[in-house]
Amino acid sequence: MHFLEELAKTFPEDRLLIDKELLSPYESDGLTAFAVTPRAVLIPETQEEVVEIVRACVKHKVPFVSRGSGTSLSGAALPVETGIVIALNRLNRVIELDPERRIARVEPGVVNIDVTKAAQVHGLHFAPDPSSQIICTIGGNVAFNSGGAHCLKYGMTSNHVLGLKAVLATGEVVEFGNSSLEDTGPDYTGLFGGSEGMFGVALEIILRLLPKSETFHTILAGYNSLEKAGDAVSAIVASGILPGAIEIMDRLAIDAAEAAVDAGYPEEAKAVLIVELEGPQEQVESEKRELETIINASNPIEIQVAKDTTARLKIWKGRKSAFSAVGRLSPDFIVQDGVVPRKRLGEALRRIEQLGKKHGLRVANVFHAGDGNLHPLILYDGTIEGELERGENLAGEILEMCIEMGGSITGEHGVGMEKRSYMPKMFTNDDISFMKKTRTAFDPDGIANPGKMFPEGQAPALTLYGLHPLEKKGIISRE
Amino acid sequence: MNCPSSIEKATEFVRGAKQIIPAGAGTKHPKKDTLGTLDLSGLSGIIEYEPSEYIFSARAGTTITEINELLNKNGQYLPFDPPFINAGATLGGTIACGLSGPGRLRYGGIRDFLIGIRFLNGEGRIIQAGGKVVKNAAGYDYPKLFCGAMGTLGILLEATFKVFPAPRATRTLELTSKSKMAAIETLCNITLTQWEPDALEFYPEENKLLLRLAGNPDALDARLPKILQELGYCDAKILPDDEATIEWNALQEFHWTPRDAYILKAPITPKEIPELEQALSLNDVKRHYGLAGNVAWIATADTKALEEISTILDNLGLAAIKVRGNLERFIYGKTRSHKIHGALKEAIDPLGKFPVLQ
Repeated sequence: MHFLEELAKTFPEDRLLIDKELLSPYESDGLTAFAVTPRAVLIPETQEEVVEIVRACVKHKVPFVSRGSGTSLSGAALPVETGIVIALNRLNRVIELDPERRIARVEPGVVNIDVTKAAQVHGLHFAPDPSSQIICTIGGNVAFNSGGAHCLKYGMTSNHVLGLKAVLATGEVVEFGNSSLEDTGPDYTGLFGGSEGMFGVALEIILRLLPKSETFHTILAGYNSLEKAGDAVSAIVASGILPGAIEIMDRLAIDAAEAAVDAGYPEEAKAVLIVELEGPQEQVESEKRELETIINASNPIEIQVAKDTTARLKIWKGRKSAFSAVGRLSPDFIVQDGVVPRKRLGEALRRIEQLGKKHGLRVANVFHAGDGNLHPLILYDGTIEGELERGENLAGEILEMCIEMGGSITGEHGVGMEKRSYMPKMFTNDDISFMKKTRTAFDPDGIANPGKMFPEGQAPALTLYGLHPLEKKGIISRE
Repeated sequence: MNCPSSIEKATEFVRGAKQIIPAGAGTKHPKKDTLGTLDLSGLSGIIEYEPSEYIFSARAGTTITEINELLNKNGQYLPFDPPFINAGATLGGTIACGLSGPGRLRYGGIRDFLIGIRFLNGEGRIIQAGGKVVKNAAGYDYPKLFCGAMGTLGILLEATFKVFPAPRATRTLELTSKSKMAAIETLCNITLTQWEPDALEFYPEENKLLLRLAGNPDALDARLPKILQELGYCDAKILPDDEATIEWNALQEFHWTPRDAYILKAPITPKEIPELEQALSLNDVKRHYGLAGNVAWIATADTKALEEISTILDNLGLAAIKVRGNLERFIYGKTRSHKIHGALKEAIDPLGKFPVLQ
């Protein structure tokens, strides 16, 4: 029996999509430059159905790409033409929420923010907070080891995954880890995190929850140069304070945020720095005084201290909306998420500016300054001949700069489709061949999310970059 | 025994050897003088330390003492409290055993702070994974996989860790309850507070909890009276700094276990502790529960008792791994067997040079 006929026995028409117009929403993810129409989209409602689909794929050697909300910025959920997409959104149950063990056991289609919503009655929250958290799913967060603004202190998604159940690309259903903070033997849970969907599909994930911080102190400082903002970061880091978040935005990004949400950022500033302290009241009180001294000494032109939660959220709203807001300044843009050592941030920004001039393109910068994670937004107009190519070249040169400085090509978006050609610049042939062997153990036929992470393979033709339709509506935003 | 002084010599050995058992300082699994033993204590030394980046890289044979001395000078620390420091533990051995101490509670364990590794695979090729920046999502996360792999997947050569600024002060509270159940209840209550406990350990034989708070001294002293008030339902006292240091050091060094005892680490949750306690009280074994009831450390010098403990753990659905003692067997209690375990081992070590975790 043919592959789809076999699945049609379980899946009714509305959960096995084959009509072209029904497939079109699945052609792209957050990286809209790429679009591929899959053979079919399967919409399972139970874990058993996911297992059934994967086993059918194994039997017929059909490639599959699992997908949550499709917010990936690296083309992680780009379909394969000969394969299917497994849309996991209906596997969205919080199976267990246990305050005593401080864990949540969830299905992969649960939206990131919904974990915190379910946990907050117990005063708990799920720490990883990618900017797309109101729509991105835990399955995608785990597969790409997503980050957010609070990684310096709390780490990335993998640091909050204690265990998981998954169906591998061999059809085997496995359990790794457990509900405890500790584990025995090799950390398979850790290996599965960030494997970019190439090992299989997670069915259940055990997340670590943390008590919500007792208090927050958020301060925004405006500077007349990016360099001064960068120096302030160095001074904070050297002081021994460990803030929950340290973010910087440049003028272009500030303009975008202002135009979009009227965040009230300083009008004259060339850069703004956002620092957030969080923790027990007395500790924050003590660090607050220290931070104030450091910021005052860093020559800001304006300081705003969030007096209450509303003011705090306003500061964050500007920051979190900055990416999609850049869409107001330019019809198209490319975003990168390379990492450089923190002490070289100033140098990196100067070089990005020079590279932008060289290619005749504007670059807006929003970045997680605490951990050196850059987010240059390269603005271009796809209707002007040659701008897309120049933008691509500029993006590539920025990534090469990150590697040269001893950093990484990706801090939190993953390699996916987008950055795979840069893997050989960061890793040796031996490293990559070792990764491939590992992958083969999980996926001997190469059917799980093929074409991602590794350099070879035919890339689909580039189309215009632009905002995701949901971004245009202001529903989602980027990190 | 082979004790290479350079990566080249280690590579040469790995290429030529049929069986390889990597060893560090032997603080947990005594080194055996066999043909296959590869003593990595000669490959030591700090390669790079960037206080401003919160990272350091060092060779696998470097002792944690050496690392800590350097970090201390710069007001930084390894927040996961690696154990057996005074005994001479190395970075490589600590990674291979996947060991973290009481401090894991607050910011995470060794798996959360190890951000990059270089290792030799069975073919004698050097593989690097992860990186030297605190945030990185490129490539598969082998640093995590190697935590707890017990030397079965490759020979660690170098490791890069994320570090944090050290808290300026700590305060330790000793809380004694009327019963084990009451102590466990207190423990659960504390984990739901917003005090951000730095460490919380349970001594079952004394119905006692040891709670460590870390932060600025003025902040801690302002908070402590309120905490004591909230903990009014148990007998709470503040330990003087010197006494507290001794207590925490004893935990980190496992002084509560007899020197020749085997030590098992069993992941657990507070809910399962009462049952395990009841079952284990039949045997003459020492227990301690760390990480707010997330790990059971079980120690006995008797190999027969070890078997009994394994059965007890299995019946309760708990797994354990031996972290000290010179038996070939590492895995106790409930075992989980998936085909991928074997397939992964074969893919990573096709010539079968490294030990099989058993």
